[in-house]
Amino acid sequence: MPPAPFRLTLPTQLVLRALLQEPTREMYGLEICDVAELPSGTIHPILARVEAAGWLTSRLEDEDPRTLGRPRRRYYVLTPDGAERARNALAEAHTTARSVKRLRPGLAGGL
Amino acid sequence: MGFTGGWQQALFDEIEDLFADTRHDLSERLRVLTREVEAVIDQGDPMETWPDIEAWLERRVVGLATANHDLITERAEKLVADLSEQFRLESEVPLDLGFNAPKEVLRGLAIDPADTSAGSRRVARLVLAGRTAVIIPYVVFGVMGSGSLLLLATVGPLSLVLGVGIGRKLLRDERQRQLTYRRQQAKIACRRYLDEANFVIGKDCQDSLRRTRRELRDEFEARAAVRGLTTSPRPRQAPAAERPESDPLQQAVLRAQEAERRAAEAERRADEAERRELERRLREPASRRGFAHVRGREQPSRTLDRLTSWIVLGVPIAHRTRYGEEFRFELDHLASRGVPRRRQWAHVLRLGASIWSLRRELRALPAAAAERA
Repeated sequence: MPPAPFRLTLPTQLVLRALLQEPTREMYGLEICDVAELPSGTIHPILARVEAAGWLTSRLEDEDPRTLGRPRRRYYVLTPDGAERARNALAEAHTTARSVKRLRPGLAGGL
Repeated sequence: MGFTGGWQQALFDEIEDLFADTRHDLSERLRVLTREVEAVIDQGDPMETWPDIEAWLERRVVGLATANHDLITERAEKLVADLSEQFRLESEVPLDLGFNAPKEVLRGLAIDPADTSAGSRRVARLVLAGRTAVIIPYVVFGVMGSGSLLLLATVGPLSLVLGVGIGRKLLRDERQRQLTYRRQQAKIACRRYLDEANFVIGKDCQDSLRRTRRELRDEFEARAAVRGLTTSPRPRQAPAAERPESDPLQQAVLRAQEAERRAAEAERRADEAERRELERRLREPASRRGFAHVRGREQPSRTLDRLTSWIVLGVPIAHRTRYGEEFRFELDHLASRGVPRRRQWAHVLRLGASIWSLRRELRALPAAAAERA
């Protein structure tokens, strides 16, 4: 299996772990923030990178925002190949609990 | 009309008239109260008088609702007496409109706290006005006297006197402007409250009248049955040949049933319209609809929304629509979940701080991947 086409930084690993919790379930940005415990501003560059690598796909909700009464959500889900590669990449990555703790200063989900 | 089923149509019409009249009465009373409360607000400074105005207005609305209920009760009693007499269907059941107590009806309805406080902005504006007052004469005379030391010494005290004069004028104007602003805010809050009170009291009246109509109809039907009228259901669209045209009594019953069906249909439609109206109100931002007691779907502030739009300008043009929608959803999501405004600000500011890294990331994407993203 080829190595990941991007650097597996700690936030990237957390985002991938969040997506891999239920790899077939579509999640929207703030959900990923909640699970990965990262602020929204951090996950968007990562999602763009992972999506560009083809590991991830995204889609907008189909419903009309006027019907929903709110702006549309964008859902993200790992592709089957992407999920497999993410699992392998994470297995190879070395993440210490200490470094994860350093990354999450306290405000969970960036909310 | 004689001793026929026409009383049902009459009951329906009378209740409709009664409802229209009482709504008009309620609107009229509220209109007068609006004028009164605005006059009261204009007599003082809401910063000091607001708690009194609030209590007074709530008392007045309860009194107003009671008066409206009394009117309905009085009219309904007369209506029952007239109908009983006209159709010889005397009822021994006392009329009970089953109104909720006005205080109960209005429970939960609160006057949106008007912005009548003397906040830090007020002090800041006063300080700014004072500073301007001092600076203007010094600048003017300072320029004039810049050529000569003697002239500067002469105009110095003059500048001081003028500064005091201008300062007093500016401060007075600023105070007046702030007072006008506070009064406007107080009036808006009162109008919202009265608007909601109109809605809630009107709804209660309507429900009571519908209930009454149903109860009266049942009671009169029972009376009519005792007097020999049967109102057992018949097929509405019976073939002409089968229709007992020779029997005027049966025809009257059929007409009454038809009228009742129409009334039920009208009632159902009115209920539906009301439900839709309530839903529409709940969808509006709390600040606009003035439902201080209903924590429905809060909307993000316009400032935050605008700030988010500016932040999105940081990403390459091709990605703006996507991230515009994404960021706006996030903000809306936080607001709708009741996340405090302070944290919404923190969220948007964090987005702003990280926009350059997103921009860098997006610009580095190969063309094909960018298209996919």
